[in-house]
Amino acid sequence: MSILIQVLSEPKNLQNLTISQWQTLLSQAKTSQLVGRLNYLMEIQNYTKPSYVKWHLESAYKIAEKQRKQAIVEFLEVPSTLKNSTSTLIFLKGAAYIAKNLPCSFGRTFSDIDVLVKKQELRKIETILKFSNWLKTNVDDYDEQYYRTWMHEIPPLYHETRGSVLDIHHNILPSTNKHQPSAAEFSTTSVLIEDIGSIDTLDDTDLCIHMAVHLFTESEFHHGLRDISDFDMLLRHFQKHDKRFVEKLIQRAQYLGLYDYARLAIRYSHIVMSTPLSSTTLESLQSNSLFVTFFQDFCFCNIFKPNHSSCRNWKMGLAEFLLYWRGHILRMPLKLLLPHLFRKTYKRTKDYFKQDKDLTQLP
Amino acid sequence: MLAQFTLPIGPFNFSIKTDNTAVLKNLSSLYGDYHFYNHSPFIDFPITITTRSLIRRFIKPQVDFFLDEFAPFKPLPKDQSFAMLEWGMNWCITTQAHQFLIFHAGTIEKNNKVIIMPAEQGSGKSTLTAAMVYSGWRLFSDELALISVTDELVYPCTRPINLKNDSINVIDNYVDNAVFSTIAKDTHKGTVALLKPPKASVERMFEPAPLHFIVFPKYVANIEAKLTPINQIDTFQQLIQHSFNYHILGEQGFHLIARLLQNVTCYQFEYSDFEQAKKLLSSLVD
Repeated sequence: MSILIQVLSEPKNLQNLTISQWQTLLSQAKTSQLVGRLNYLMEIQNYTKPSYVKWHLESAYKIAEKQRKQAIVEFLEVPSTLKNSTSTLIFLKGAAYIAKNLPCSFGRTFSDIDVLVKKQELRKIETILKFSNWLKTNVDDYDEQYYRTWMHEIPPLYHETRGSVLDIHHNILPSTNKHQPSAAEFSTTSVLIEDIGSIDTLDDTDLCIHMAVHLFTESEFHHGLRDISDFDMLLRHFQKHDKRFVEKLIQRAQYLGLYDYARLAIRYSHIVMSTPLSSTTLESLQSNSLFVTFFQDFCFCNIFKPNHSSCRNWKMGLAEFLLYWRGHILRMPLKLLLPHLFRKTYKRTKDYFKQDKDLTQLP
Repeated sequence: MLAQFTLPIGPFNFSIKTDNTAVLKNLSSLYGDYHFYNHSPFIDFPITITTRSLIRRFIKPQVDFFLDEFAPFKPLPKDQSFAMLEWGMNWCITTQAHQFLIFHAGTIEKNNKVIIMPAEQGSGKSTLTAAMVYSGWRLFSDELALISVTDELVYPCTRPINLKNDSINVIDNYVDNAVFSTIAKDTHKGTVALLKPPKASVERMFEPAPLHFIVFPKYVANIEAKLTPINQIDTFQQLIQHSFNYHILGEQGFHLIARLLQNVTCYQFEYSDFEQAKKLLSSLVD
């Protein structure tokens, strides 16, 4: 097991590490975007940070804190911009963790603020945002068309002066996906943010389910380890306040028709991050088919690792390959998938040969 | 085969792994006065400069910069590899070392008094820094002013000085026996060469010092060197523009600048002649 997973699943292991262990740990945490989380875990436990590693941990934490402040500004700005054009505005994912002040939000960096709105209000929302300095990111025509026809979200917008990036969802999953949970069935809760007012997010169980659905329909797992660690921290936190939380989560997922995703998230959170679960819950998590279980165990146990030379092996490569196809096949039927992938490969090849000229991003 | 060098540069430990002959050659000529580790300390920035793709070793050769296992930039042509290393090292510091408030500024010291000279790219700040540090000032950095958020001292990050275009000749003429890296032409910043830092500055790279003056330099042809005092509000605004991480430090950065400004004097500085510049800047600290 990688040293990063050892310390995430048992923060006690953060004490008394040697210099070379810290070197590996920090390097693994950097590739997994988890340095800020290590800092948080050490702070709440009051562990002494070795002097040579202290600033690395704290710098990552400062970046996350800056993003937290920025998200809080958007909790005020976005609803006030949209107050006359939307009946629902639900903050999801990273923004929701911040709104609810959940442990996994501390030290966690994210690239955009996700919100869920009603599809029929989308046009009005886009117009208002356009006139409030939210601009379109650079998306080419093919991608724009693809987003509009198949996706559950529109291309991201960014704010001209504040620099925030906004991801607007109008559904839970792409319309091509086999499962089509209705966004309206997810239950929301309102949270009071100090000095800002109340905003809407998903309630605790649905927040976890939404997260599970997204993680287990992915085809690329660049943040896979961070995400499963988020899920682990969510479960640990909610279980502390409600011993029956996982049971309720499973029931709720069954009701929404999303049991499969919740099951996978709970199972791999337990296997990878050692999330404490009752034995009855554990037994209920088996998949029916032995082959499916074998396939999933192979893929997910190998993908939820730091993408780092100290952990990479052929199994991880194979898991990446299999999950890439699994994700795409879940997302859309082959007759859409093949032309899409062909087009993407062509574009990537073309870009590779064009890249020589683009040197402007160096400091 | 990758060769590895591990060395402290001011408050950071760098390791540089490379199989690039130009990088090796320039490292040995410009970093000759540095103290290399012969054991393995904790490395803050493990850097690798190498060519990722086999094809690119032979056709239009390119190099990649890696921090840990991450390549933050697109590859550059091979003749820019040493310049890329230096730019990449700046990137490492400015994007991660938030224990410092970091300004884009030439930073020099004399009589335990630090002057930072924040300025835009191409304003001649590196040239001025180079001329000063080869006339008795101590080099902290030609690009980065690192001000600790804990003890509020300025920390040296003594490294080769980045000179561009005409400045290369100007400094070659001004400094006796100046040692330069190989010259990289046609970079995104024009022609670039790095100047070896003075030995005395390298030897004292672990000694921080307090900030005394903020000077915004501007080269104006044929002008008599002059210092014009500017007020704290204007300085504050200009400093924010020249900061790499003020937006990340937020409140902490705001209070730090506010406190610093109570004890420092700030000037606009116009100059054309190094001798006059030297005299005027020295008059501040003597």
